[in-house]
Amino acid sequence: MNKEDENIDNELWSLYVEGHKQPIPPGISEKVWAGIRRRKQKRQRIMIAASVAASLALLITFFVPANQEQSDAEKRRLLQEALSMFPEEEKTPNEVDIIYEDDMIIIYVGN
Amino acid sequence: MTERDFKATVLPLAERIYPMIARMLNNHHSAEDAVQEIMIRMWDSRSKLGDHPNLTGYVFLTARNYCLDKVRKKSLKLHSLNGKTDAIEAQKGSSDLERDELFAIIENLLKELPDQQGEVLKLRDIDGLEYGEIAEVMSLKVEHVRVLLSRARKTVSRQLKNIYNYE
Repeated sequence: MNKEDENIDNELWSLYVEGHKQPIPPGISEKVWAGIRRRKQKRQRIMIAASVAASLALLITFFVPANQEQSDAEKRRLLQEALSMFPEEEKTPNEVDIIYEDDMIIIYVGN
Repeated sequence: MTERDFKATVLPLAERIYPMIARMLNNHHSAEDAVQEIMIRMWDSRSKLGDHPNLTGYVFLTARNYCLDKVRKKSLKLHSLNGKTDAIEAQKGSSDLERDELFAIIENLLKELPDQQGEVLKLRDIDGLEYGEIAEVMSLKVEHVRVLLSRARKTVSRQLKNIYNYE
């Protein structure tokens, strides 16, 4: 109770006030600050993890499709190279008798 | 507000808001958690706190609103005046019955006061808030706080004298 105020002029009230004052736990400010610091560090860790994840996602976005395109181009180049090994007349016979043909295979006899 | 400013101006208020929170929540563990939670809120909004004209009052107001919200949610009784503190429980002896009776009488007197008078009296005498802080907490003018406090004290004093002078 504050002495400079117009207090309740009664010892009974003082007894009641003293009995109901809540004792402050020792070191509460330090505990609070430690809690704030833990939260701060947790947030920093989350931010770092999110940044790393975003960077990885960005790298994958840029590099993986590029690799696939290179791979397709490489395949086309290899195919062309393989085809060029055969003489032109071998690729398309002038006169052929088709013995069997379906979606997958053509069997023919040519000169 | 920088970290250094926060530690110098806001963090020390943890000790000042604790008694009011403990009284309102009537539980020391809940009170410690509440202080932590309120201070984290202050930390998160520290960029806006620097220019506040009544920072202490604002922290008390936030703490009180937090407690009122908790009390509403958990359907706890707002005041702990029916409960006894651990210290009182520990000191139970031959005069405890008389003290219990006195506390019960005063609690009834406080309940009979108008709500604002009772709250102002508790904030001032039990929780130790300054007039300006009470004004901020209760959204009143300082002059009004003084009037409410004066009336509450006169009423309680008169009633106590009446009761104990007749015995």
